Amino acid sequence: MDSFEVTKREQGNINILNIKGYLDAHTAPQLEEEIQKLVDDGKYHILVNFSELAYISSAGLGVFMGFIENIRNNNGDIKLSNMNPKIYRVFDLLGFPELYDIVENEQDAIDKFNN
Amino acid sequence: MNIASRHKPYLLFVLSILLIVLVIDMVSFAYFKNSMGHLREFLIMLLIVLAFLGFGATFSQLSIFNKVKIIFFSMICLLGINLILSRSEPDAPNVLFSVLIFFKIIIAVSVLRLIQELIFIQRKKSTGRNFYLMFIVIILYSIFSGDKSGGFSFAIGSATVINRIMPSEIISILLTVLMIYFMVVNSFRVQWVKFLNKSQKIKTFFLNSFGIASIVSFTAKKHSAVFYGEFTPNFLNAIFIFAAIYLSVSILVILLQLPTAGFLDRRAREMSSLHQLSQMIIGVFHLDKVMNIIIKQTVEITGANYSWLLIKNPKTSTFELMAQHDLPENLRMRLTENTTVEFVDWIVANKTVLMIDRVSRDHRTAKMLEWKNREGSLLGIPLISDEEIFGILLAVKNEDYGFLADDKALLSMFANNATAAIENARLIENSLEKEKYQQELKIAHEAQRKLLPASMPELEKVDIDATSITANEVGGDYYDFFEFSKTKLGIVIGDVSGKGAEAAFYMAEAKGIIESLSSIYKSPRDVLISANKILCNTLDKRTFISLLYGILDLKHNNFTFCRAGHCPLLYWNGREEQVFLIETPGLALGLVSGNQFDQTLVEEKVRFRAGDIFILYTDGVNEARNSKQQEFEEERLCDLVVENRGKNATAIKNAILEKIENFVGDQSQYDDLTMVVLKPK
Repeated sequence: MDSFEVTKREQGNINILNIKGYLDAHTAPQLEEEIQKLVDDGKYHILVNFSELAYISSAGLGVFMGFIENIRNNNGDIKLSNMNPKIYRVFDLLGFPELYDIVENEQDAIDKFNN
Repeated sequence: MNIASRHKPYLLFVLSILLIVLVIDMVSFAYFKNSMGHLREFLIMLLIVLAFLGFGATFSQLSIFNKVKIIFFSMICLLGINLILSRSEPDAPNVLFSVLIFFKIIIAVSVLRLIQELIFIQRKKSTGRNFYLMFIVIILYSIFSGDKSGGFSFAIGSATVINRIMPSEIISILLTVLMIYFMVVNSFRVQWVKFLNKSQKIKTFFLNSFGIASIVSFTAKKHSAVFYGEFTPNFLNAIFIFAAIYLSVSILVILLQLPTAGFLDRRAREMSSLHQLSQMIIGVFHLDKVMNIIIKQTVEITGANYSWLLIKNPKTSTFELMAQHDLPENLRMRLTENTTVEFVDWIVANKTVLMIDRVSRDHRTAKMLEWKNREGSLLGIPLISDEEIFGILLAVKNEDYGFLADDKALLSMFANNATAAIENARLIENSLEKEKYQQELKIAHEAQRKLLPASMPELEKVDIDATSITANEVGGDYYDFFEFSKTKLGIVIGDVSGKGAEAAFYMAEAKGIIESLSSIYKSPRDVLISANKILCNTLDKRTFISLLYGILDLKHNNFTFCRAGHCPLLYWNGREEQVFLIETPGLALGLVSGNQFDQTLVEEKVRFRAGDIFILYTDGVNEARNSKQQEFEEERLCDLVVENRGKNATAIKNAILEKIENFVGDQSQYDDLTMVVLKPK
């Protein structure tokens, strides 16, 4: 079984999710649950750090689609950072860079949130 | 029936011998006045042995109590014969006398045979030995013992030899002692008594007492055999003495067992209930039926007025009423609407049996208004599997102190069987359900197969092959062809995000949408823009579809296509001898509605020549993984195309599939894999 892990931390008003391992149809609900909790708490500034993610499937990408509209309507955003080229390629193929703020590192994302 | 019919010829043979003997006997008495005495004695002995062997087949099929009854009837006959004999002691031999003696012998042999049948119930190794030794000793005693001086009725030469070595009295005493010894030993084999129920025991007691009385009242007298030698009266006496001893021991044992007979009866019923249940376990697969049987058996075992079974619902963790027997309506209402019943909670918390002798006085049943000021006792047994309570078996009697300690023990034992039965039925039900589920998946798989083109388009100027392999029974990949004309072919390949049934349904939807739009719009871009609008309204927010749609124009040798977030188009350009992965801008379908999609999507036209190759594929190809978690990647795919560029579409497709198969090894297929190979001629 491919494993997947989410760790949460807060930096100012920004909630950072570190995702690790394999994000696919089986593990997507885990990430979904974490983001849902943040949304329920009214925390709409979300940064997802991909540095430790080994693989993402289309179902994994779908997780972000499920929340983005609601979060943006609340003046928030989901920003994605620290993607390795392989992961970025998956996002790129589907055209996600058109829809999401995909940045180099956490600091860039924080700066963008604060502006 | 079978045994009796099989032994019929044998029995007839025995009976005919008996008849012959009878005739000889009567004739010899009436006319030859004892002249054939020794022969007659010998024949009688033979008859006894044969009859002894012959009767067995008839008696062995009778039930124990019927055997006891036949012994009793034999004794009545014996009494009758003895009465007649004692009243009319003949001075000379007569026919009536001979016939009576003859019947007495038959009775003796039958009684001995019946007693043997009783002794052999719960037979051990020594049982048979002791009995047959006794039989031999009785025969010997009958031959060698007697109160006439010398004592040898059957006095052939050898007897005189023995007589010289040992005085006849010593032999006689020795044989008597030995005989009594064996009689006593055999008399203690009365295990059959415990198989009788209480009322049968009582009847047996009286029947046997009467039997003993009828023996004892006449056996002391030997007058009945006045005109016979010593063998016959000795034999008859020995058998009836044994019968008397045996029956006495049996009534003693019955007397000792009578006080506990009721209890033993119940035990027997319980054992048979348990046995029945284990039979049910084998035969019944329906959970509902198993639970109903358990409830019925509970009532039978404990004699409860009503009983019910609660089973834990794994979703809600509450105990729900699953089966009941005569459960009063108000109690049933209470159990279905309100599951927090105190005595149930107590059993769950303590995981042990609960026995309440007086429901009106116990705090755990105090809140049950139904039982207030009423007599009643309750027994509740937890059904435990893997150290967890999954059910509770409850029984109620409408009297205080209704349940005994051994009811508790027995129902606990029964609960173990019930647990096994329920688990068994559950397992079977699960596996049936699983099978059904798998059958449905198979149907879904077939249905989805039918959504793919049944055959490749056969066009003069292009060689085509395609394949789609799903990782599970159903998947989200698909491809399709639209033959607009002999030189114009529409091709689509798509991949719905996610997996399984959900993806499969969206795939079917996408197929229908693209199919109808392709006949309306000529430009691939228009088709996809229109498809996105429709799909954005119907797809789940999280679901999207990557898709590549193109039109192959074989007249003008160009391929016009649009890529909506799908894998790039692989193009082998023969003239430049180079592979291109053409990745035009475009978002996947269903991500965003409106302008953003339209503005991003770019349509591209590729001019080709005969021998060029186009491959449309899904990410199952480049993301195929091996055990080291490495991916197949586009590079390998491109190399393969270069390597196999001279071959036809089918050969190229097969080469790629083979390579992927080798690469993946024994790893299970992770994602759906689809590929369309086009090679213009």
